[in-house]
Amino acid sequence: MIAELSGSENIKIRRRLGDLGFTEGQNVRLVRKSLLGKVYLIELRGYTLSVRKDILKAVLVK
Amino acid sequence: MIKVNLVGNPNTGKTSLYNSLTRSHEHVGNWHGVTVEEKVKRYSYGGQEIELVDLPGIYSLSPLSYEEEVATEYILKNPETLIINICDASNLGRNLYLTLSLLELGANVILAVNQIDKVPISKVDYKKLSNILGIPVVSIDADKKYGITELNHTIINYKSSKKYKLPYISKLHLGEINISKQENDEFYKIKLLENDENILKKLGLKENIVKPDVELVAKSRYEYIDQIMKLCVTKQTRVYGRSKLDKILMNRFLAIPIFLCVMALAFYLTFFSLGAWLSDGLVWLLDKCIGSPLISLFTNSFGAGSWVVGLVEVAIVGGAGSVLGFLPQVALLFLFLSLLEDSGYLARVAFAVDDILSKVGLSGKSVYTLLMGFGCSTTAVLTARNMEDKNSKIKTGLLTPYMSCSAKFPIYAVLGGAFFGANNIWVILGLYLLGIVVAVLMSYIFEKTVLKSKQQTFILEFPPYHSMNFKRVLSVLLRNMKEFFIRVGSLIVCMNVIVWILSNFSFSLKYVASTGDASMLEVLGRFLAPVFAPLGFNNWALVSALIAGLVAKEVIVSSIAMFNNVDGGNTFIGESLKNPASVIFFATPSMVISYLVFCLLYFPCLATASVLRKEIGRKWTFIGIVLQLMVAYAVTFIIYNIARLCENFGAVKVLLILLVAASILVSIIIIINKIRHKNICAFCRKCDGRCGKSKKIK
Repeated sequence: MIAELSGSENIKIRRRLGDLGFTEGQNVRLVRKSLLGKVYLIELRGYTLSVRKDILKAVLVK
Repeated sequence: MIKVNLVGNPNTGKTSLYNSLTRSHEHVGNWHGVTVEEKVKRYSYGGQEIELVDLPGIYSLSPLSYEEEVATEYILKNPETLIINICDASNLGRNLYLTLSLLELGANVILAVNQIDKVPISKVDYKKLSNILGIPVVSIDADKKYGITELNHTIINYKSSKKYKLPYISKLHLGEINISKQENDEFYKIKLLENDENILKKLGLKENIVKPDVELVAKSRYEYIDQIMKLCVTKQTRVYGRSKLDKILMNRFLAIPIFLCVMALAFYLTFFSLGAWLSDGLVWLLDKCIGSPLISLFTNSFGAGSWVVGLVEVAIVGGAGSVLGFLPQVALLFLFLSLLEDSGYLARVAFAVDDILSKVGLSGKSVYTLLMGFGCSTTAVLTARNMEDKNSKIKTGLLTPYMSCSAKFPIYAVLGGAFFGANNIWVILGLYLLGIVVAVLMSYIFEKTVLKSKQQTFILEFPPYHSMNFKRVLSVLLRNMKEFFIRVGSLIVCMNVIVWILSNFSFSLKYVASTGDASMLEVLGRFLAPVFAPLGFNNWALVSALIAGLVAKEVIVSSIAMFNNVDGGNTFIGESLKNPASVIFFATPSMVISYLVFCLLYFPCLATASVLRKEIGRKWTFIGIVLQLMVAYAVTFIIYNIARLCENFGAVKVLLILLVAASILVSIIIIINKIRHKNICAFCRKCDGRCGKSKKIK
């Protein structure tokens, strides 16, 4: 999967996602979801991160 | 003197390194954001004095939460100070991102690569890394103190050279940006590209003069990191934080039940089996070895009946002893809490419950604060700082005092134990749950009224699972036992002596034990008691105990023990209260329940209140306390009356009636909702049919 940051979300959040390694061309993998499916567990750049789904709106995945 | 700042990503072992360098014992954990404010300590190495500052963890120099702001501000204010940038060897790529930000700033950086994992995920070529970055790189193990000498050596021999160059900066076209600042202008230009509000303010700009491009900045940094990683690091074999255990523990449907079982087991072990045995043993030991000899010593030297003997017997031995007996349980509780935190499980729990908590306006990160609230709400409130949203931080802070902290447990154990015996386990379970339920309800009310979460984000790394070694278990136990011991020895004994004096001397300063006059506390208690009549405990002694408990909740137990013990010969409250008939203050079990509920809810102790004031401001602390008093009064009133009805008419009947009443209420609410939202669109549930979806279907 290839991620791309889109300009729709809050810039603070996009900046943080960039800091965490969500950059264009980066592979990301969805590992699991939480009970209500609103939080995702994601693997990227060799580490694991849990993120709310609504924050990930800024990330376009091809 | 050399000044050194410790900077790094969250949970990379900064505080471990701080402890190793300065030989301190600051709290560390396997959780994002254990350190929430800077800590400073001096030590010396090779004849040089070094001042070390431990900062909260950050991902970059663009802060989101309060504690990140603290760290970033600190770094920007002291740009010339030497920085030890600590990186986790297992997650080097992401960690180097911060390093690059620091180098952009032109800071003096020593890179310390920490090997936390026993089996390293990847192998790092430190020499090459040092050559490429142009800064000293030291390999360390902060826990096992490997590489500490080398690091110290590097610190005292450090010479500012700033030889490094960052090739990606040319890609950012910084030449096109014009700012008046001369020094470090590259750093500020990059920050403008990142649209950093704090930097805009610093430069005196109202609006950004460049079109921000956060993606470009992040991408260029990471591209450079990828190049470095290719040259210096053999390929990672595992993913940091991935574990097979998570297949079961973090299963979408099992995660929360498993967490509840883990908590139940921890509490059972702490309070009922292991902890209770240890506690009984300790009480017996204290009584035989310290209590009795001390009393007989004073009786022999002052004569029975003297007020000095009374003071020693009741206030110090009886009062403090009654609390000291809980030492094993308190220590165990804190041990379990740090086990949860250290193992890396808590971060996963936060992930599992975040979406449920977000329904009531909290975030998964609140779990950490609220769980720590079971230990001590004073320290727990501080951990609310790692919340990104100010309103969520205030909410979490205000809810923490509703948790049953370790100081409330003695009240439940002693008073409940006297009346309910073996059934007390259910009373205590009920009280713990009640605290949580009230907190959740309050959070829901806050969320819907004044404290709506604004920009709540939830981004949390999964740390790898760690097992706790014996040394660490021992150090956690010893530290908590020491703290508890000091607390009982100073604060609790002090309060007991004050309460004893107030309850044994009249306003004319006469010793009342023999005369039967009203003591100072009795007069005050009787004055306030009618207020509590609707709650079932309009008794001066119980009310005065509550007042004394404002300072520390343990004092409630020791005060009741003292009042109860005025003419009893028993040394310990456990003994004197084991027989319900001897507890003169409670007539019925419903009164006991009512009192326990009120104790759970009524007030954050003074220490917590003062920390709250610092953390969330005077206004919110005041509102929180007033609300808490009101909530405590209301909830206690309801529960007392339900309990009383149960006593009079039998529990089954009352519960049935309540159940019926509740279901009628719920159906009425549902019907009203149906009527009000008759025209609501079935697809988006927000509009009345104006959205596109419903039209298409029609």
